[in-house]
Amino acid sequence: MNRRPEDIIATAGLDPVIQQDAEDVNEPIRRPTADDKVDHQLLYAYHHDGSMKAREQLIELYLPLVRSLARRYSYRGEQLEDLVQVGCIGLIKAIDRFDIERGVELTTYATPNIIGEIKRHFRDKGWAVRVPRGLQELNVRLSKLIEELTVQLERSPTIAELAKASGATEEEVLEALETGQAYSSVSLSSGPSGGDDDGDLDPLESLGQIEEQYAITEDRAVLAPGFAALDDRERFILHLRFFEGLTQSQIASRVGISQMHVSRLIRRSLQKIKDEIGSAE
Amino acid sequence: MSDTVSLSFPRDSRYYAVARLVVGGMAAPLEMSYDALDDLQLAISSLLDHEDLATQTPDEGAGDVRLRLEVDDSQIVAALGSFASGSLDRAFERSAKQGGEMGLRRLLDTIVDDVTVSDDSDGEWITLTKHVKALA
Repeated sequence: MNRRPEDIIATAGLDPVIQQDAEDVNEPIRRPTADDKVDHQLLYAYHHDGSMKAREQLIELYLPLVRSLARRYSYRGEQLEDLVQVGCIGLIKAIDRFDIERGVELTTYATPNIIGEIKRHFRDKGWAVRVPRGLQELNVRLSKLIEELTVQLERSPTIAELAKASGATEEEVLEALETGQAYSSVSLSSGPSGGDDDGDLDPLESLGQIEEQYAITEDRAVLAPGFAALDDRERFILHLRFFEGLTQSQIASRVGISQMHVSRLIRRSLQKIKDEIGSAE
Repeated sequence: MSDTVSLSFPRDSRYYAVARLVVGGMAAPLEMSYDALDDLQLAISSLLDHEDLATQTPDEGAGDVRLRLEVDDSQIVAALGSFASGSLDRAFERSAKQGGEMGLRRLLDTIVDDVTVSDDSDGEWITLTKHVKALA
């Protein structure tokens, strides 16, 4: 709903309030008149007179700005309306903290506040939400397709084969695969909803099923610095990849998880080793 | 006949996905398997993520990284640079010391077919070669 600023003022009934106090000579700053910009009048009414109604009207007046900024970020997989809500928090903070004596426009002050709030929202929610939903879904589908095609073709599929099987373009396949490549520190126990697993595996359940396979404690690899940060399955997968030279497909088949999951676990394990070594220094 | 694509991007993790996507885009027409592509992308990410690899800039700060990709029917060759002189050896040594046998060099040697370090006039470059295996 977009309302004209004049309508907002009319419904807020601000003019009479402003006019009523216009004679006050002790005002530290000039009281806006009807000729001043609507937002100046509202800011004055809120900050000087404490009119909460004026605050509400300001929020409504600047909603199109929030919506326009939120739209810039909504492609990252977050619903536009959710981002508008987040952006509104930034707007409210800007309105509340605005110093009417500084003579800057509210737009100038509010824009970085709104963007900052949206960016903070993305940072707090982690990488998964930055990925457009369509790509997230394609990523999950590809994970299953890679598994199926690997069995069917008896080798790892190509991008073209994945594109054909998923009905997506090669570019979309590459982009969707990339969404799974980001390093993530989400704990294994966070499960599929943690945004790091494929959704085809309950991590704790799988540990129970194949625990015996991880008995490689005598191997030199597991004695290497940094490996202490890994769990048994991660150690086992790194051992298979880097010491036995198995491919991801072979590991996937041996451990009983998808190839894409193996890829993620390898990346995460390497990151964990790096972090462990970094923190030890 | 080979085709070459060169890319220059800031030494900032926000741009690494761009590099990986370009590698994917170059590898896709070669009918490289997902397995092999993922290995090459991991190799490049591991190098980019290695903090010991200072890019060759006047102030030795975090300057731009250049990625040169050369493809022909049989392989994709990714050259990454340029790094300050001795950077790569130091990175290999340090990661071997810290990570034992799971150092950067072992990682690269396992997941790509050839690793070459060369000294160029503008600094050090590392070249990774990944062969395209004929589809069964």
